[in-house]
Amino acid sequence: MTLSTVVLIVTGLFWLMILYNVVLAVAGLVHRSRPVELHAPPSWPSVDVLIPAYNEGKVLFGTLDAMAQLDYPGTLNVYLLDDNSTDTTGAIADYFEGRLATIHHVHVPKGLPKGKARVLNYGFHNSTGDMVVVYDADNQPRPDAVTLLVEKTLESDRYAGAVGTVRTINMYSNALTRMIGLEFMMFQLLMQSGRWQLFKLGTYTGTDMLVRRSVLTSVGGWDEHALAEDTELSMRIASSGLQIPVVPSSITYEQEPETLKAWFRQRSRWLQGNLYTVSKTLHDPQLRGGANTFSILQMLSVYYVFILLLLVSDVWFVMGLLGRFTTPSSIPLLILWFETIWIYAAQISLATVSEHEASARNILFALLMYFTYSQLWIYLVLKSYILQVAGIFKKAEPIWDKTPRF
Amino acid sequence: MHSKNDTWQLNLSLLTLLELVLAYLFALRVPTEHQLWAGGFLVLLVVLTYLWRPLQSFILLAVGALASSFVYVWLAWNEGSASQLALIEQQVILIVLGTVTWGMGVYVRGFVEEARALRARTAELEKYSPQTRLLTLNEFKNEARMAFAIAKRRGEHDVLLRLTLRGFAPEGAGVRTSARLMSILSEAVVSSVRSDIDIAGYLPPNTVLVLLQNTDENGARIVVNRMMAALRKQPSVNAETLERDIAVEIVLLDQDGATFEAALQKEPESA
Repeated sequence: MTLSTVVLIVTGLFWLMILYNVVLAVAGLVHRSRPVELHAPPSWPSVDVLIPAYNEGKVLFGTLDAMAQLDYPGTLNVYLLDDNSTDTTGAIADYFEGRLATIHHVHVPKGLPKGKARVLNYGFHNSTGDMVVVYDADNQPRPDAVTLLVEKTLESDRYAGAVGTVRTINMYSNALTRMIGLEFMMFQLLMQSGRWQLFKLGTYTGTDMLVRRSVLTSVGGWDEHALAEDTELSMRIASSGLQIPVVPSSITYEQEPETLKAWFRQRSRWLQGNLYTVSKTLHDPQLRGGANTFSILQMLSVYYVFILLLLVSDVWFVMGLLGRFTTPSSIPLLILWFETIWIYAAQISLATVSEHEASARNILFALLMYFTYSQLWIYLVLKSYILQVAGIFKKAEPIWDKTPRF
Repeated sequence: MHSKNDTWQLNLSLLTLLELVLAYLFALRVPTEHQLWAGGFLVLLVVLTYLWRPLQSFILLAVGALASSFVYVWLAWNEGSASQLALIEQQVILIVLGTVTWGMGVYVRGFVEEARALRARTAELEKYSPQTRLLTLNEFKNEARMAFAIAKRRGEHDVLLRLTLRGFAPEGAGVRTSARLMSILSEAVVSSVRSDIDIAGYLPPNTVLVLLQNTDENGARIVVNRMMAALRKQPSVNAETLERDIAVEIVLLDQDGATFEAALQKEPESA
C-alpha cells in the first residue's frame, strides 16, 4: 500500500466523521428551532427529585434554594441524599428541611461501592413518586425545568422519561470554564438534539433527567459499579425498546471545574465510565443490538478511531514541520486543515447562536480550543484506557472521584 | 443566573459597512462561475430571512457555510495545491458575507421591534423586584414620599413595618438568604396589606418594608397577624420555624419623614 493510499484512507475516514458531525449539527439546529408544543396532562404525576451529595457545602444553599423555587403543578418532593458528608452539607439541608415541607434531608448509610449510583438507588428505594428526577448537587434548574420534563414524558408511553439541557453557571470565570461551557453547548447540540432529531436517540446526562419509576424498577435501578451511571442506564433503557426524548427548553445551570487538575479528574472518571459501558454492552447480548449498536459504534468511533486519527494527524503535522515527512503534492493539505478547523469552530459557533451566547470572544475561543482543549482529550483517553485496563487486571472496584466545587 | 457574558449586540452601521466591503471583495476575488451559485444562495438567504424565524434561516446559513467546506475540498483536490490559498480566501469571503447578510436580515426584520417590546417590558419590571414582586427600594421611597405629603396635608399618621428574614450562616461562611423563603414572605405580605393604599418594598437582601397609611401600632399588629396566618396557610411551609426567623419591627412615623429615612438607613438584621 502506497503512502498516498494510506493518506487517502485516513483523510477519507476523518472526513466521513466530520460529515457525520456536520449533519448532526444541522439536525440539532432544526430540533432547537422547532417551537415547543407541550400540553398539560389532565392530572400531574407525583415527582421525587433526588440530589446525591457528598461535601457540597460550597454550593448546596443555592441548589436547594433553586429546588424550592421549582414551579411544578403536582406534588413534588426534593430529597437531599447526604452520603455521610463531613462539611456543612447536613446543616444546610436541615435549614431548608426545617422551613419547607417539600425538602427532605436523607442520611444515606455507609456502604460499597462508593459513588453516585448507590446513593441514587437508596433514594429511589426510599421514595414513592411516580417520576424520579435527578439533579447534581451543584445544579440550579430553572423553575419550569421539571414541568417541561414531565410534560414531554407524558406525550408517549414509549418515553422512559426525558432529559434536559445543562448550562455552565461559571462559564465566564476563566478560559477553562469558557471552553467547557462551549464544549457542553456543542455536545448538546450535536449529540443530544442532533441525534434525537435524526434517530430518536437521547442519552441521560446525569442531571436534569427524569425517569418513570416503573421503568427504573423494571430495569433494576442504577448500576452501582458504573462510573457513568447515566450512560449505562440509557443503554439498558434503549435495549428495552424505550426512548429518552431531549427537551432543550428544560434548563439547569451547573458549576464546572475551574482548574485543569479538577477537570482532568472529572473527565477521566467520565471516560472510564463510558469505557465500562462500552465493555458491558459488548459483553451482554441483551444490551447489544438496535439503538445500542449505533451508540456503541459512535462511542467506539470517538474513543478509538477519532483519537487514533487525531494522533496520526498530529504526528503527520509535527513530522512535516521537522521536514521528516513529505506529503504527496496531489493532497491539498492546507485546505484540509483549514476546513477541519473551520468546521470545528463553526459547530461551536452554531451551538452558541442556538443558546444566545454568540460573541466574538466565544468564536475566538472556539478556534483556540482546536489547538488546546481538544488535544488534551488524547491524554485523557489514553489515561482512561490505562486506568480501566489496570482495574480489570487488579479486579478492583472503580474509584469514585468527586469533582471539587469552587 | 449566569455570570457576566459578552454576547453580541448587533450594530447596523457596522454591518452595513462590512456588507459593502465584502460585496466588493466578492465581486473582485470570487471567480464568475462561483459568483453565480453563491449569489443565488445569498439572495435565497435574504428572502427566507424575512419570511422565516431567525433560527430557521440561520439553519440555511449553517448548511450553506458547512457545505462550502466540502465543495472547496473537492475543488482543491481537483485543482491541485497551488491554488489552495486563493480557495481559502474565496471561502472566507463567502462565509463572512453570508453571515453578515443573515445578521442584517435578522436585524432589520425583528430586532428593532423586539428591542422596543423589551424596553417597555423592562421599564414595567424595573418597578418591581423580580424575585419578590415588591417595589424596588427607589420606587418604594418615591411612592412613600408622595404618601407623606398626602398624610401631612390630611393630618394623618403612617406606620412603617419592617420585616427581616434572618439568614443562614453555616460555620465559616457568610450569611445566606433564601430567595424562595423571601418570596414566600413577600407573597404573605402582599396578600395581607391593602393593595390600593399600603406600599410594600424590598430592601435587599432580606427585608420587606411596608408603609401602612393612616393607621397606628394596633393596625400594624393586625397586619402582622394576618401575614403570619397567611404563612400558616401555605402547605409547602413549616410556618412555625419560619415565623421564628422573621424579625418584626413597627416604626411610628412622624410627618416630616425623619423617622422614615432613619429606619431605611438602619442596617438589615443578619443571622
